Amino acid sequence: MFEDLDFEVQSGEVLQIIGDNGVGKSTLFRILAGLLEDYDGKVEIAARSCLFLGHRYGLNPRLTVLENVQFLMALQGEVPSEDTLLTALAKLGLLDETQQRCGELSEGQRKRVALTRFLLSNAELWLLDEAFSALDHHGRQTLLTLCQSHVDRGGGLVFSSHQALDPLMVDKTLRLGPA
Amino acid sequence: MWRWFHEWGSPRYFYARSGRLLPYLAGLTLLLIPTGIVWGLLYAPADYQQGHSYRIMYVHVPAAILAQSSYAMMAAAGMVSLIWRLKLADAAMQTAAPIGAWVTAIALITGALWGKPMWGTYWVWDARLTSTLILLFLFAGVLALRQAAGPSQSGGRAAAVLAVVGLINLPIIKFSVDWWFTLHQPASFSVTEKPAMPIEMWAPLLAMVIGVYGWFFWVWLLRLRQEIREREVRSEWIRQRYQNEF
Amino acid sequence: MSLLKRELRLLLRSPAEVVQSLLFGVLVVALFPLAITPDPDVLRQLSVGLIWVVTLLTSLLAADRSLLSDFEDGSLEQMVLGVAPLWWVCLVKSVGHWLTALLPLIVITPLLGIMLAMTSETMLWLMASLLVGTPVLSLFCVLGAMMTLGLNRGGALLLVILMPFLVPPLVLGTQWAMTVGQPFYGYLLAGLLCVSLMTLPFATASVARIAVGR
Repeated sequence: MFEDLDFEVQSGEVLQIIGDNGVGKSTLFRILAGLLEDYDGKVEIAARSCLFLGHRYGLNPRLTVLENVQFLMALQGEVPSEDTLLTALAKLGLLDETQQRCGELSEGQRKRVALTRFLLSNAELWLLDEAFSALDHHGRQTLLTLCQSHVDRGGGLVFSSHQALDPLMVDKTLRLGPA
Repeated sequence: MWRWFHEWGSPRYFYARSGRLLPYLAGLTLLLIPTGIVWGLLYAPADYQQGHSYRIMYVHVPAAILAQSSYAMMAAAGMVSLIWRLKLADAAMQTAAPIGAWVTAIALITGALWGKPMWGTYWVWDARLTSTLILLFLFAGVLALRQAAGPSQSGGRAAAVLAVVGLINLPIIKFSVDWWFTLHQPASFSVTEKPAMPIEMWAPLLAMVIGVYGWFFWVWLLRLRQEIREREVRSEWIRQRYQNEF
Repeated sequence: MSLLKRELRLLLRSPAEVVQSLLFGVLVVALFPLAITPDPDVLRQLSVGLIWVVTLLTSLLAADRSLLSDFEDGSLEQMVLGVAPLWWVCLVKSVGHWLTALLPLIVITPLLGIMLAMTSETMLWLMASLLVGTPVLSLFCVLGAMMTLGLNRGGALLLVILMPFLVPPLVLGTQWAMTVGQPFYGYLLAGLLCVSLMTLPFATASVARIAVGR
């Protein structure tokens, strides 16, 4: 699918992957995350921990917001207190929905639930496929602030988006397209 | 020793060297199988109990033996492809599967044909036929999974895991079927002690068994080489070798 | 541990799935006297095998329920990426499958036994054989479900792939029940369970990585 890809992201750097639909951005993200192994070449991740958010957010529709976030955090080996969780959810504007089942939420709300663990965790590398999709203006601002503070702390960020984002400090761009 | 292993694991090396085996395998097969068949069908003495109908054994027994060992070989190739990630092993497994499935089908059909004169019906649920049937299902599973999962590397790995799990289960399945059968053996099945076969009877059988194995390896190697050609179509060395054909 | 909690929570929130498995079992068992004969002597002979086969079919039907839902909402890939050992994830999934599809059927076995004119002694041993044997079914079903996850016509494929592996627990379980508890088969069945518990979750884990990459 791809040929001759060679790129590097240092800590504190932001890489944006640009390309039309179908060119393989999501496939590349999945390779970076470690979900796909069907490739020739090497992917080296020097970061101690890595968080991935793809097209599917990993939220079970029959569990509540709080339960889903607790589960996803537990998968990373972290068990934050309920207060910490509620504070984080409040920052993402979800305080009223914590006891609602994820199946009843809108897509934008679910995206914000999925982003909660990014707020709570100390992972060094963030991989966000279609980072800003499904978010309204307010949601986008929140995500931008989130990313900014992550990068300021020295974390690395790789994301893809259809929209050009001037406010975000993009250090490098990778453009995928036909040969 | 590992060097030998890695050398042969490269498709290019394997392709170049294995070609030399082909004539020997062909010779072995073409010599032994007709010999075994003619001898067994025409010249071996009639059986004391079964008369002439036992002769189908000359096809059935080699097929049955080969059926099981071909599954084992396929699963072994799968195991190699899983542990050492050799694409050649994956190709070997993929090409062995259909051959093994056909051999099992032949064993099943000839077993049923043999049963007709012996027991009066084409199908009986005895331990061996039932085990062979289950073996056919095992092959069918691997083939179906490979086809559904696609020709990608991950499809091959899924099929390989299935084959290995199947191989480990094979003795367990055989034992259970054996116990099931001995418990329910109806009175009409009397397992008589077969008298020792005279040499005129088992010599053609031996010829058939060796010949059938030779045939298997011959056909397997042919198909494997074909598969290598198809998979490496983009590599330089294939192009150079077959410049005329392209 | 949170994996187990989540599985149990999901189980409690979807009673419909449990009822579905139960209904299937009862309805199919009820079909047989109608199709063959109401003669209790004949039914009694067939009863153990019938109930075992129905259990097997129920197991297959429910095999990919929870895995498919996790695959579709993306939680499976998060589990693969998570810190929990993948074999544990697969084991928890098998436990969930057993609790949802098979345990209810075991609980209702006395009812099914009565419908098929089973003696109470046989019924006891049947339940014992189901208790020991059905976990093996769950372990294999989850393995098969993982292999066929996301593929076209996965359901039919599942049956083709799994059928040979389900024969040993089927045979051993029915033999144990039909010989009214002869320990030989019991030991074998228990042995099969132990071996399956120790190996199948790992096999399923290796397939999970493949499934998630689709």
